[in-house]
Amino acid sequence: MANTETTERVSDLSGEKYKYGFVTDIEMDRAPKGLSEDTVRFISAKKTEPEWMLEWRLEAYQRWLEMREPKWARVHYPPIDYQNSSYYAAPKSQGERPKNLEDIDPKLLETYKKLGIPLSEQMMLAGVAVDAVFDSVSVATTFKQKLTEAGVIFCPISEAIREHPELVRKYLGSVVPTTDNFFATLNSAVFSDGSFVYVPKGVRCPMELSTYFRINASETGQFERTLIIADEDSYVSYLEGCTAPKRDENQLHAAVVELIALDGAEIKYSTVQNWYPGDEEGKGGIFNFVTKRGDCRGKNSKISWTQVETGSAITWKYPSCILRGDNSVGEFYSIAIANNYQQADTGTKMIHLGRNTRSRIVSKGISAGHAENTYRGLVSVHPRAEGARNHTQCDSLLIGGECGAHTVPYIESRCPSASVEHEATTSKISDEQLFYCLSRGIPQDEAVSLIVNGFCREVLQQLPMEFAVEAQKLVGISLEGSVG
Amino acid sequence: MTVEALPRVDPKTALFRKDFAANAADLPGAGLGWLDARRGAALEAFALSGMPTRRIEAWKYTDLAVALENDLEPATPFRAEDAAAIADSAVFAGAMQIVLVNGYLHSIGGAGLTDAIDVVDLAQLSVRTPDWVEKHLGARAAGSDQILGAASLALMRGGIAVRVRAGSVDLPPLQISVVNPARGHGVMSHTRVLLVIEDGASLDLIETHAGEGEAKGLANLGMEIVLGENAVLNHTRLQDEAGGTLHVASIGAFLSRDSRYHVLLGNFGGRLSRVDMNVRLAEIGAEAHIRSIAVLDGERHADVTTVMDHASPHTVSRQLFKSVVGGRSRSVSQGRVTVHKGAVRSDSHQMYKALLLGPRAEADAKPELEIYADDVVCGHGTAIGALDDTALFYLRARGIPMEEARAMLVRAFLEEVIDGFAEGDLRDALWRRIDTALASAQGGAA
Amino acid sequence: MLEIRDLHVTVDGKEILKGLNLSIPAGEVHAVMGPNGSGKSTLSYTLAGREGYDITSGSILYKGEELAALTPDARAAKGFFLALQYPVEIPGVSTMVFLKTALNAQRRARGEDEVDAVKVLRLVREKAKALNITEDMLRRPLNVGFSGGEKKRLEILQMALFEPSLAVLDETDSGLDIDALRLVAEGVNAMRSPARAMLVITHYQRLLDYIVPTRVHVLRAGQIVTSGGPELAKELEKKGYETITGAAA
Repeated sequence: MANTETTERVSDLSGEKYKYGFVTDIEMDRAPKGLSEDTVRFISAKKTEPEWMLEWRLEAYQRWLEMREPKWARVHYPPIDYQNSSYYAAPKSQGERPKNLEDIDPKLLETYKKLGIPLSEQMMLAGVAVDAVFDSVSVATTFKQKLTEAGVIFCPISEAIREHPELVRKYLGSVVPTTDNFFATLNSAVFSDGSFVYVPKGVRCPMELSTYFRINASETGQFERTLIIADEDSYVSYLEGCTAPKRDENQLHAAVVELIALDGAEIKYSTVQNWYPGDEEGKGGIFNFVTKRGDCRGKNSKISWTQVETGSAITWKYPSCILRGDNSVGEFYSIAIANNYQQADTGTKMIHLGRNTRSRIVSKGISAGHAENTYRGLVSVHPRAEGARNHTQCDSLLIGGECGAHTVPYIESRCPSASVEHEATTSKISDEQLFYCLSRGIPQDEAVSLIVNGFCREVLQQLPMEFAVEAQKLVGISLEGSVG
Repeated sequence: MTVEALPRVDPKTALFRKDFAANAADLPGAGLGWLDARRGAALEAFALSGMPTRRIEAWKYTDLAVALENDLEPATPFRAEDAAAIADSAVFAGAMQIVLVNGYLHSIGGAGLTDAIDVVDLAQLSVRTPDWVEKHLGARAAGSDQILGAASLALMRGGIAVRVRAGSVDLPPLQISVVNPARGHGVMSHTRVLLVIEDGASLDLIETHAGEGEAKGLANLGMEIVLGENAVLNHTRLQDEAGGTLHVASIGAFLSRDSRYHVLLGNFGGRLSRVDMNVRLAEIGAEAHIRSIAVLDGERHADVTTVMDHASPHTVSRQLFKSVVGGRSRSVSQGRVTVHKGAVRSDSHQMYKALLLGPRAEADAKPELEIYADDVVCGHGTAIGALDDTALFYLRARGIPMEEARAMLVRAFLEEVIDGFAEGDLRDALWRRIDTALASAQGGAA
Repeated sequence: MLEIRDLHVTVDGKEILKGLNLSIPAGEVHAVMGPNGSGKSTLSYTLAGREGYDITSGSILYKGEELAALTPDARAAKGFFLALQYPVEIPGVSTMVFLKTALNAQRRARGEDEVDAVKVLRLVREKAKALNITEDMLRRPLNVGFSGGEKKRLEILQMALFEPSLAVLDETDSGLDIDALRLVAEGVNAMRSPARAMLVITHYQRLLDYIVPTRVHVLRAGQIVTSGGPELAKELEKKGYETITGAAA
């Protein structure tokens, strides 16, 4: 059922703004276009999955057939033809997953080097363990040894399904059920790979964990699934980055991320999302429909989401926290930049169920060009959540008079001892600020970048050091030429 | 009219449609071409969405279809035994009073009307109806964005059109008293009020709603406000319907250049109330301030939903909503501020605050911003919680008993809304009503 | 250094500068004084190249080069500095980061090597001390929550850091108490050098007690109506603009 093809070369890219827009010319093993029960079976077979996993997928697929695409977000796009996409693509050289880095196709290593993601351990600087997902499969996980010593499991989810079925069966779908929403259900049926993390009781993960997602092949969707479990009193910091080649077509990305924090555990999840956003006329770009949810299942647990969203033609994502355990804490720090014809509809949900639960939301939205940028968020306090506290700060910055900035918060409180506070502001980069920078010799693009970085500072500070610098640059690059 | 052709209709939607089908020929003004057309469009707008349910985003927190009875009959005009209910509806000192009974114009009293004011009875529409009524009636509060407003136009039985002539200032306040006397069974009234304040004119309007009886009825009001250039309207609403009533008011305001609209919404009575207010800051320099107070005891549901359209440069809007929610009540505050492309230097702020008095009370807020112009100052804030413990402690440490201290703080919380708006008699009346409601709401919480 | 010839400038379609002539050689400090609305701020913004200040005729030669076509950042890189009457707040951007960004942007534009963070820090600290600018101020967001005096001192710090060839100080004395004024004046005087020209724009004579100018010019209704030595400032203070400019006209 698989066929092979060689991906096309893309014209000269030097000097272009989206520096990740290249294509790796590599032989691919891929599923033919289309989605059916056979596709689901094909993926499951490719991954040599146990029967229970296949059943789980098929159930989701059946359910998906009855669902309809959600329409409530402020995003507009032509109908997606789910039959016109391939649901599995893997570098052919990866038929057998390499046991160590020497076995990896040098072309892949070269790709990740270009992306600034060094996969060879000796080359790595700061001790960040990386799992690299190339189209539908994980191609390399680094620092395995060191992590194993600490008892941390960090591997492709396909491997976890085979090697750690008891953990996967217990937790997969327990935060985002297969019935959750159209895109999550689709993901449940066809997800091909992603990362799995388990941090045992009392363990502080010795290094940052990172997954790097890369869409390479054309006419494919990417559906990765990430599952992170932090057992009692453990800590883990996880970062994901995403890029894709420049293409005129729109490619679908529908991921699901589930986080589970047990008693006293803390998960810090950071994202730098830089999928190809489409060109200046709005052609091409990734449709990014993502379901991310964390469950503070245990008391005194904490889940913190930080996201820097600069890419994708469409972003639809609401990393959320279910604050179930008493005294648990949820955080959401977000920078969303939409330029040219990008559309972003992103925010969070904080569901306060347990006593004395706390949540904090800081959202910084920047709109430029003809883009539409929406913050959409829910804070819900249930009657049992005595003493719950939420604070939300939601700021929008507009650059130019052709874009839109929108704020849609839902605030629901059913607990008299809870306190929920929300603040929102909208502003623009003032002429005075720009002139002041210019008069001190700072060129326009750099001045915009400086001012916007100042606007985003509170969120950038949340990122791990190594990525904060990259994120700052990205903020500048994303807005180049937006004033003037 | 092609209503019959529309597919499956729920019983609540059918209630309105049957009313129309049975009575279309007898509705006031039937046969007037311009009115037939507007009624037709309004009915279509209503029929397309049907009776609002939670599935409609603007009605997310208020399910009218569930709340509404399906055996309501059209309300009837004045009867002799209604006199007592009308007498109860007090006139504010010096005010010109217009009394509506079940949506029908009943009488003009109080200080009578000055020459600066024209009133037209909407139950008597005819070919002799003045042009200004024809120009404005049904132009606002009748579209798909105000579904019940559309129904109020389509099914209108009566109401009034009021015009304040250009340049008229220093008029006595105008009081519009809407009284819904008991009919022994559930009734529905569909009333329209059109208010045109011409260029440079200024008016203080007091709008009161009161009722009697426990029957579960619907009082549906569609209100249109047109402000000419530099016109001013200070509008106070005291909604104190009977306990079984479902009160829906769709208000559509159009603000011309440099006009100012200030409104205070007092939400006290009724089983469920919904104020659906659309304000269009249509021309440069227009300014709107909306204040709202809800004090809810028992099992009331009060929803204030606003849409503020900044359609021109240099327009200003301010919204301040405060709710005190006791018992099993629920307060809903929703507002969307839209700054349209080109409406630069728009300045807008919304603030929603709610105090929850008990474990079964609920407050929901949805302050929305929709911005399409970059040179603007827009913001909103929301705070839902309990009384400040520290302040409470401070007062008690000074010897003030708990209940008194609480009452003091709750009053202080609401004072910000009333302060600088209502004065004299009106202020006293508001506080009297608030205090009664507070006593009941706080008692209910204990 | 600076040669302004018959300069006409309109703002929002209204002519504000109406044939202004002014020449400042290197090594000199000139003062332009004038009543409110005479065009002082327009002059400084025009020199810095702010958008909306349209030169309808005339020329501004800086080191013999016409300035009109240059953007504000290009002028800064060429050694032109304007201390603003109302320095601007930029939330979230620390003062130190701003200084480093500006310094290196100017160096880059001139084809010079960038200065690393440690060196910039050392440089800034050294200059900050003389102006009584604390470490804490340098860490805080640019001008956010700064007092009037702090903002003005920071402007002078930037001048000291960028070492411009031509500095324009626009109403740098406004809103300052006498101690702050003295501090600012000392900072300015320390910058006086044979290679540098300065233009002090002010409404009050007070500042000129501390920064003694080579020449004083009186601006009125968009033109320089009279010029003289430092004594002209004193005379203005005594007799008022009406008498002096009336006599000149």
